[in-house]
Amino acid sequence: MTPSEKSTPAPLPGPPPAWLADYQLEFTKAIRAPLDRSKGTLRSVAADKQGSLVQQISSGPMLGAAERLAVYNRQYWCRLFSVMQSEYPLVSRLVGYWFFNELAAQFLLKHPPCTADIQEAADGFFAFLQDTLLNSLVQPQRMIERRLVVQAAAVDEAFREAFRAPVERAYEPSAADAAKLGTAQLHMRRGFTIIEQSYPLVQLRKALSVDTSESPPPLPEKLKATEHWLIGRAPSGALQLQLEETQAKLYHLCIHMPVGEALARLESAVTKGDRSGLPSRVRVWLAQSVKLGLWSSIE
Amino acid sequence: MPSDLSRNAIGVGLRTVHYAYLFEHWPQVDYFEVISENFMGDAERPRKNLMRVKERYPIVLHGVGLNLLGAEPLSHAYLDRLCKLIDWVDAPFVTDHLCWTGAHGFSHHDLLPVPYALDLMEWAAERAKYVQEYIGRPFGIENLSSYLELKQSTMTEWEFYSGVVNKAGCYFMLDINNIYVSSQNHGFSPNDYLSAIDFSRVLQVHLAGYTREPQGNLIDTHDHPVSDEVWSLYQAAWKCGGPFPTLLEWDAEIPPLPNLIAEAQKALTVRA
Repeated sequence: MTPSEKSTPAPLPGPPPAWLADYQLEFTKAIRAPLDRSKGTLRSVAADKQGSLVQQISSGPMLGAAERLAVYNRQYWCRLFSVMQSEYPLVSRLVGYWFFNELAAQFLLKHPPCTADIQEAADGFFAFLQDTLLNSLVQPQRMIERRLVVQAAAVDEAFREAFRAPVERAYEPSAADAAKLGTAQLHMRRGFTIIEQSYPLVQLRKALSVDTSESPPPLPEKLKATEHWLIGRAPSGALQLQLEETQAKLYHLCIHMPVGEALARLESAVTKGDRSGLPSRVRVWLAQSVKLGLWSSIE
Repeated sequence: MPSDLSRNAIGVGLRTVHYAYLFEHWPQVDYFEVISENFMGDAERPRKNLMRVKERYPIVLHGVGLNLLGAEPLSHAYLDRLCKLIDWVDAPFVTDHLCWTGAHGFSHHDLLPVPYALDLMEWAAERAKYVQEYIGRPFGIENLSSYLELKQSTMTEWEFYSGVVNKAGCYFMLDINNIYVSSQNHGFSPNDYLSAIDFSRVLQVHLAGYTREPQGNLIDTHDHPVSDEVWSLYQAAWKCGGPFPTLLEWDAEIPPLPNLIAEAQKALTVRA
């Protein structure tokens, strides 16, 4: 029997027993109750507050009813913390797991997971950090600038996008395209992001990926000049390529306007000295972007 | 009973950390099991990886998000995506859990317990029957490790489980480690559980390792080798109702693939 050889489907199942939704609502409240951090460990206090549900649970050979419920409360949060840490490895290592879990808990309380894909539980965390993290993070013996945390989240988000993007063919230019390139609009392929960083965060993320220690790394020094990176997909995994500032500007402009207009804007933005060599550099950068598969289509 | 996979087959749960070794060495394994939800999205990379695997090995699908016992209606969007994946990998069978995983619009990403009550058993069987007919493949339901029991229950877990499977006309996805974990946590005999199973309807058996917490209770962590007690129980199950496809799951502190395969193949010795 294959899906294409389905028999007449069974009738749609009827409604559940009347008590089921109430039971699951009580259980949901109990497992989503935040863990207590006041004693330096993550402790379940949900069972203390869920009297009616605890009353429905039998004591076991090793744990009482409340302790048995607490297993699920801890498991709920620890599983989600683990997913959040793996989706945002740079942020979690930079700020430390203890502090990261607090940020993650605040986010998950506001945005509880609603889909079957557990990795989607982290969707929106970057925007949440941008919106809610208003000041530097003061931690014992160090202070982490807000900008550093948000930039680190942007790096993690770019890698998430690279790994999660759907299949999309890369644009392959034809001879006919050359004639219309000036008025054409390029569309960036899903899975690619151009980021700016004032700290060496892409490099730090790479270094941390092979560092098995759990302690926060030393905070990175601020760079002398802002760096631009292209993060995206490559046949062998993730692409992380440093771009020249003008190259990054060209790609940004091409995302938002026709190529001809982008080139004119770029020319007016560079210094007089740089202007003479610009056309040949632009040709190299555009060719490189096509080779990297940065674009999905042209219209 | 589906015939595409040998009843003696031994497989392992495929996780992303295995790809590097797998794609270089292509070791001898009878089949792999993958988590359905990891491949139901549009992301390119997981599908490319699975494409390479499915060219060489049979693949069975194991879900964690069907929400069979959730009070909300079954999600047809979920089932449709699952059907596409089933067709794509040509899965000989599909499994998920006898539990709920979300409610009231939330997805909890955990396998949560219910009271074992007659009205719930009948409703669960209707849902399981519907799922099996919708997906058009043999559908196996897995017993879960549980950490609490509810006073509202009017029957044992194995009576509930057998009732759902028999009434739905679907199959058991029997997790031996889960039987052992729950038996320790709740104080029942795992052999009583096994003796209630109709092995002619066992699609597959799972093995895994657990963790014992300081208070003595067991958690189904899938981060240790299979315990001696679970191997003994597996041996009893094999004597009672073998052969059946056997799969080792390992989800944390995952050893290199050759070690994982070697651990799974201990089943051959235990069966002898």
